[in-house]
Amino acid sequence: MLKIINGQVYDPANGVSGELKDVYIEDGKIIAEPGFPQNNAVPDLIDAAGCVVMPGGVEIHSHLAGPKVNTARMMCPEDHYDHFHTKTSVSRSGTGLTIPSTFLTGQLYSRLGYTTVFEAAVPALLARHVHEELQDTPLLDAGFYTLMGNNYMMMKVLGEPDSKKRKERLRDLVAWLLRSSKGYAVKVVNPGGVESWKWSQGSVNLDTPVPPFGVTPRRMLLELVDVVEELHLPHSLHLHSNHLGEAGNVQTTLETMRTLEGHRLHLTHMQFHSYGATKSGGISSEAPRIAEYLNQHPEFTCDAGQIVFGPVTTMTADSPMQFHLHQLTGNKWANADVEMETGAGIVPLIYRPSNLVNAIQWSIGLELLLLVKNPWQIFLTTDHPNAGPFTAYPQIIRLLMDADYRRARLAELNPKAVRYTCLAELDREYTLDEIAIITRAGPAKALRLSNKGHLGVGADADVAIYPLQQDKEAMFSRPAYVLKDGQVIVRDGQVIKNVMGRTLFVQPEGAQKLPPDLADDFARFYSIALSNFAVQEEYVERQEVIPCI
Amino acid sequence: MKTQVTLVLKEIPSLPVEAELINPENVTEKGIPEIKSMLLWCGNRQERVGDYFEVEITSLEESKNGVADPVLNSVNKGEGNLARLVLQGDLSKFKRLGQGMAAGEMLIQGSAGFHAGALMRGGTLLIEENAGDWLGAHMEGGQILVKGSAGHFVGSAYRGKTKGMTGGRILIGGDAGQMLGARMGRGLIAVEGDCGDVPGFGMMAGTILIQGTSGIRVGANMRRGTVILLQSKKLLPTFYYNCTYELPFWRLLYNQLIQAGFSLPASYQDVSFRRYSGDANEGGKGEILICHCP
Repeated sequence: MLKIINGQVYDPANGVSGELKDVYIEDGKIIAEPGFPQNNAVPDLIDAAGCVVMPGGVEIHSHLAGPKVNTARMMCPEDHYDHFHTKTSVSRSGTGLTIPSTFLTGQLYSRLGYTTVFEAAVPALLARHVHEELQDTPLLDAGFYTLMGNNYMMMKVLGEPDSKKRKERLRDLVAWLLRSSKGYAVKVVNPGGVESWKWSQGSVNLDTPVPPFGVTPRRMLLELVDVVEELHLPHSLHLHSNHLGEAGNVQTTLETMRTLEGHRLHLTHMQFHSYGATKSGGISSEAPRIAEYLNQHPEFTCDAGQIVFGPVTTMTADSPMQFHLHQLTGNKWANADVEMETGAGIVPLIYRPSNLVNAIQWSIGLELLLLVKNPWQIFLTTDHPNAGPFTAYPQIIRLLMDADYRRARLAELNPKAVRYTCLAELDREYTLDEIAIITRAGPAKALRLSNKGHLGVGADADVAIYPLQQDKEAMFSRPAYVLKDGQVIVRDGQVIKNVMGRTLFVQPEGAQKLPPDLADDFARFYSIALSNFAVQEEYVERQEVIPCI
Repeated sequence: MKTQVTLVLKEIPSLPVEAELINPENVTEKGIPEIKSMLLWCGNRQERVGDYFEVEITSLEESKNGVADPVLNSVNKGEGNLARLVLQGDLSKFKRLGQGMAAGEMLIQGSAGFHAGALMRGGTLLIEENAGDWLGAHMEGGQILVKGSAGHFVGSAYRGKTKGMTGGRILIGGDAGQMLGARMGRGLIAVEGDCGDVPGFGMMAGTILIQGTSGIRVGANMRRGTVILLQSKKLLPTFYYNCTYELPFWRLLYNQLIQAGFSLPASYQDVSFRRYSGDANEGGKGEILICHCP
């Protein structure tokens, strides 16, 4: 048995806020305080005096493994020259700043106190590669979301005129895709937009019919949220809306939310979707409108996608967006067409405080985090590595907790940025409780991971212990201890033990195979045989199936 | 008192050796045991200078037996008391010699391996035989003189980096390989012999002079900068002819190169050039000057 004593415990899911409380751990789980007399065994002690004790961090949206991450690693050797970690007696070496190698990704996350992560966008066809990389990403429990928003079979089913039949077929297809890929949730990226681009057509709005079946994004979203609910998937639909990064996209974002009112929905990297348009075609902040809407609609959750100044590697399944970004910046670009399922694009970038657009983007992310009143509705992400590397989380936490520091940083930006934003007027400072919500308890709840993000009895013993300091950036960059399944893996910010986490996925009820017409299409259009499509058991050696209830 | 440190190679190693610590600053004011204990990597093994070299230290005033080089002397005045570093033997298996050096003189009496003088900021590196690939990559200042030939990517940017050499000069007596001065941003590279394909690829500034014949696709993707070809060459279609003229700065460059020991026939002293703009795909602000020999 392990006992953490003298720590101030922040466990918002169980209403514990900074109380001095002991935490007991046995067999990788949090247990109740044992009654006396104890069975002779003297517990191992961790003295957390002067420290805060939180559940291990839960990352809801990050691009950390898979084919597009790997392509980015290959196309950006400059990301690796100057950033490397040599091997130690317990951890392997690795390189990379914005796109670290697999082992290093695991180490860097755990060194911030994160113990659970989700890869945000995986085409079912390439899921096997993602599982392979996750097997090599140590110290973390991990899962991923399966891309469906531009899937040919999905659109074909959605084009079915009979609504009852359509619903049934769609449910079976979603369940089959999730089971085949061993994914965790349904991800939709620029619904219909990627497919439309592949047909050499322009960007889509909610009511634009998408070739070849004429399905509109609105119908796709409405049907998919229903199916996600019917299948009782733990996570809601995970949506990257249309028109990411475009001036004036706030209209689309609001319209999307209105369409899906009353349903559970997670809107990802909201910062990129909260732009107004200026007369000259530039962007301005519409964070207040988005935040106001979210404040009235507790069924929606979102994550921030906060900009971090410095180098980033943008990567998304939204390939038309990446193509425009490439044209805009002239930076190198990779594009992939994932057969019948989706696309992907990669463009490395540098965000600069002196650049007006970047300065406004930076402000919008913070405005969202400060204006959304309920911290259970907005989570801390940088859409790693699109808006910034996840290693910048401590810096963002400081920006949220320290209004003076925030103002000082705001003053360093392009001076015109304040004209288009309202960040300067916001005085809110996050409390430690709220930080614990936006980094662990909130994401765990949105993902319905009952064993994560809290320290109640029965929870996984994933614990992060941070030494209390005035400078919150320093505090959250260097945890005194991080525990994974009850084992100390990080001590004073250094990895001291290498353990492997589990793969988290769902197995929803539904058809076990494709209906004959789709199987025909598969045989005709896919580059692999249907029998080779589903990810085999051996790719999820250490698995945890999260129930659909 | 100025000293000379001489490292004499015992035998050519079978594996490449990472020798980025071997530069004038690192051997100055050190005794023989200290120099011998400097670290080198060979594969995954850490080894020492003493494993590969005999070390001698002499006072520079006393050594009059031929190692003093007029070229080195002419450009290295007032470098304080940095030791002059001389390496003897075939060092083509030694990588990163003189990497990042900021001052002083380094003389390699033999060939050098990859990355010689990469990231160099000042001082002089003289290589009496051939140099490997990535010679002077990302160089910021100082000069590199190669009497033999150099490999590929002279003065280039490393993979993924957007800007290579940003200052200093590299003079090559023999031939150069492919991608000479790729993504170069300032500085001078001059080649007496021939060079491989795509010299000046994506260059952003600076000057490249090629006396011999050059490979295909000269200046492909160049945005700015100057490539001077003394032999006629068919250019890519994205380069277009401007005019034939006499360059005001050609005489200055010519004299500077002659002074630095670069051999250019006197017949080139007064020539006019045909100027081509390009690469039109990248804005067309670069220029290729081809000698208009009568």
